[in-house]
Amino acid sequence: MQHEEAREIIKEILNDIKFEGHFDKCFDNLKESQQKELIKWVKECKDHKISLIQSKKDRNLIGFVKKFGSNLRTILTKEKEGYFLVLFLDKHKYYEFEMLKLGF
Amino acid sequence: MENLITLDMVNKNESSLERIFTSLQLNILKKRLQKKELDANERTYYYKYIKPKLKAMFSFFNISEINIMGREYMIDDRIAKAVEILNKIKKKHKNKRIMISGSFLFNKNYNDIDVFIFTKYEKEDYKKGKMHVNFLPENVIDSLFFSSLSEVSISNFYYIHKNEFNVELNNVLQNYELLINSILNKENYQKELRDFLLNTEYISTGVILNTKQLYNLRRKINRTRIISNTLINALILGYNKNKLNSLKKYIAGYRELLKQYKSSNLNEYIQTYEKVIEIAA
Repeated sequence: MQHEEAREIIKEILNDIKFEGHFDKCFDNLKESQQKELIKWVKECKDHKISLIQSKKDRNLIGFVKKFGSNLRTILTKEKEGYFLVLFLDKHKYYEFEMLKLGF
Repeated sequence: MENLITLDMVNKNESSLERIFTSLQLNILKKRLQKKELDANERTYYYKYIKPKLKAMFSFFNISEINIMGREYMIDDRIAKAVEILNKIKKKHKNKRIMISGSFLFNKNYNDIDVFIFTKYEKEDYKKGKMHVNFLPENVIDSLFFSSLSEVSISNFYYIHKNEFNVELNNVLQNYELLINSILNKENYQKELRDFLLNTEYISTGVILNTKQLYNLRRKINRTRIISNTLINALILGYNKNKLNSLKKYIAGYRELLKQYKSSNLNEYIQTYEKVIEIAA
């Protein structure tokens, strides 16, 4: 699957979501099984089936995190009582900077 | 530079070394390697005659400015190998501060050879065979992570070891929460566990664990209860009651979230933070 198609599917699940990090490049580098796993995980986040973490900087911000292999990481952020905000996908180094920035 | 030599090496090669050093010089070198105090005369001999000779000997092998920390933890034949790698990388990354650390130096089995390059500019990490080259910003040198990393390391630079750090409560909590989350999600949590053990030991005792100590400790800890209990003890020893009272707002927030999400990690956080408040009261 190419990232364009994945973006469409994810937008259908989460509505108005932003994509950040090197989403396109990293998504294309995932194995097909990992791409499916990512989309399934997004659905499960929406259905409250995935454990969440809360930001220490902004108490209205919650997040879901997932690892793919040893290098790729994803963060899905959501307003506590509102909408999903951003799906971030990138290498672990940039994930760590992002996590610090978000207060997770 | 003399940290590339051991007393054992000198004893084994004494007859060859006598062609370069006088017996007085060899005795002073041995004394130095045993970390015994040198008197004023011996110090003069050491710096004026012995060290320059060592420097000249090493120059044949293109070894210069090598800083070895925690030699006692290292496997002997890995030192020479690490110096060789360092010298190769130095050619590719000229004028950069480079450090080799991690299990390659002290453990028979290892996955990667961790090489750290400290640079002003952001660069992509890369892997070449077993070698994992990580580019880190130069300000990392002032971090608790660096102090731990450098305790057992071989590098091409000298630094002033920072020993005092301000570890914010929120950072410790974030670290703990991510660790528990990774364990419950059955993901690889070794990095989170390493940071957690480093932080909790430092805030509770002021001790900076080195990479070998962290490696050994990580292998023993695999249950969330042990981790949560470690956090409870560390927070009580590391922060005052007023500071710990801020945990109440997190407990309230997690209780609220539990109404919507059946997140088992939230229950673990609540139980742990309640225990901290109970003991600190």
